[in-house]
Amino acid sequence: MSGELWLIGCGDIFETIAAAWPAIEPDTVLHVVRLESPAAIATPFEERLAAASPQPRVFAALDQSALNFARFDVYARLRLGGRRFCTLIHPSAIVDATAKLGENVWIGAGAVIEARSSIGHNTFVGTRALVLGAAELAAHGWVGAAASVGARAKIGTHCVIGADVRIGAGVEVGRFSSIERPGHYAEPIAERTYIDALFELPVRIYGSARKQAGTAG
Amino acid sequence: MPPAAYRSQEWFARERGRLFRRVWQFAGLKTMLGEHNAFITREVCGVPVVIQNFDGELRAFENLCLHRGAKLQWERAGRRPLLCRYHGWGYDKAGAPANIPLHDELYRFSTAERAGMCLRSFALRTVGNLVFINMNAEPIPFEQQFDAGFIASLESSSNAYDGEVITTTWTGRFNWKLAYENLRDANHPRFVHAQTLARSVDFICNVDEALVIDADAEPAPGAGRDLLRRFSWGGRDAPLRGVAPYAWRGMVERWGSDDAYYNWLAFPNLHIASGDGGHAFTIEHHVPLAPDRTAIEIYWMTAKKRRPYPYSSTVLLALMHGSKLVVGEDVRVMESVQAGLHDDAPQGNQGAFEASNRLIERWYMDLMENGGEF
Ligand code: FES
Ligand SMILES: [Fe+2]
Repeated sequence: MSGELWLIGCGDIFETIAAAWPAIEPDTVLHVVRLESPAAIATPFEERLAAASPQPRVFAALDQSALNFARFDVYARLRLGGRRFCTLIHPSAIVDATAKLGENVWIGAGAVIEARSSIGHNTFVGTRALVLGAAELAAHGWVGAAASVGARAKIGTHCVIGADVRIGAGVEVGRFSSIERPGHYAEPIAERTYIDALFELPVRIYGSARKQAGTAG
Repeated sequence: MPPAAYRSQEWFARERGRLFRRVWQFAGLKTMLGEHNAFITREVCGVPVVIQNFDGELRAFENLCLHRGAKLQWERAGRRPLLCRYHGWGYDKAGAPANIPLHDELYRFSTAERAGMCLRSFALRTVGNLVFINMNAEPIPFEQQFDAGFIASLESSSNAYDGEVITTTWTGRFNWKLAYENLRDANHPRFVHAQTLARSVDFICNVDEALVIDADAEPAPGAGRDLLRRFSWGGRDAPLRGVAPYAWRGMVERWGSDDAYYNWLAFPNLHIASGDGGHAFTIEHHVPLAPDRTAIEIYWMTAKKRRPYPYSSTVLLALMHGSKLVVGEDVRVMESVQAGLHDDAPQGNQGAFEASNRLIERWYMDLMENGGEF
């Protein structure tokens, strides 16, 4: 690719991309819009991209927090604003030609993305993470450093697979779940389950997000 | 209280019989039981209990099959008929095994034998969205345990709860009584929660003169029954230094309009709070597991959503992380008190502001030593 790219966001992945440039795309000029913190997205940042014309590509880089909703917010707003996104792959990552990567996807240094796997929009795969054959990662996700997603595993939208977490082959992880305690997971994980070193037992959410208290049937 | 009250296995068993098997205890949320066949399970006084919705009616049963004792429901919460997984016995809302597959071929119980089969059931009472149960065959009136104003306040506030609930349990290495004492001590937040809760709430700690007089007075015979109601209270507790204007707070049907810290304490072991003026609520239930071990069950829900918003689960998760921080501070202190106890440990010296704890202590010691008054 050639041309210009506007990188917007903050955090570790943001700094990694900025520091590794231009090795990621040697012919592309990088412009950096550094936000003070994820909280800064509460105020409009769009005009900081005003000089970006005509129609350059953008990339929203924010680390995982609150199930990636901060990054989702930036991504969604830029998308509604008609921006074009790109996919960034660290030069040391190995991505099989048959893998499908969505837009605003980051593949970190040394990561391996195997054949027939797919990675949805706005999902970040960390340093040395493994996404094995035919695994499916939905949009707005996060795979931490050295984590692995087993062959044919299915990860729902907005999930966080933390560093050193290993999701077994064929395991399904429901959407809005966050698995942050390192270890091997061989059983399916229900949607909206949080497994976190802070809590001894998984934290679960019950009740439909759509239904009000007290409604029957 | 004597160290044995916090440490002795014998004491713990006596306390279970004299206190917990007689009082109304929090058992769960009606919002998690909204549909036919919705259920929750838990252990109360060492007994596995299932609370199940039968066409809108909530029933509490011992969660053990009458055939060979398998648990009827296995998950913490879910939606499934009351049906044993072992040999398929199905139960009706009266607790009778209405369906025994292959009965005539394989079991051949007489009509009388079958008529005698019924799951143990427990009295159940809902207050707004809060479900209470009582393990006693002849439960005390709910109104003897809680006064009418308190019940009304619980009902009104819990009716505001949203149906999306986050919950988890963690275990503290302390006796459950340290938790109720800690919750009735408004002087600890400024020390224990100096960096967290006390930054946003000005906790008011003062001396209730009437309570001091009662706590020091010689109890009148027969007064014990009425005392119980005074151990629980709730409502507006302290002013907040503002409520952060997060977008989600605008998307829920706030309970009340006060920028206040709301606090409800239901004796023996339930604590409910809203730390943001009625936008979100947390329930902490301290379940005794052993003399020196207490399960801390935590729930969070916002007030009812006006309409769904996509990141509501992360709001709940953030609230849960907040609890881990604040409750974690309490747990550390209580665990240090528990760890220091030994058979000859000195008893505490409680001051005037701790009159309510002293009043409870007097009633409780009478219960434990003399059988008390219920
Ligand atoms: S133990 Fe329940 S049906 Fe046999
Ligand atoms: Fe506290």
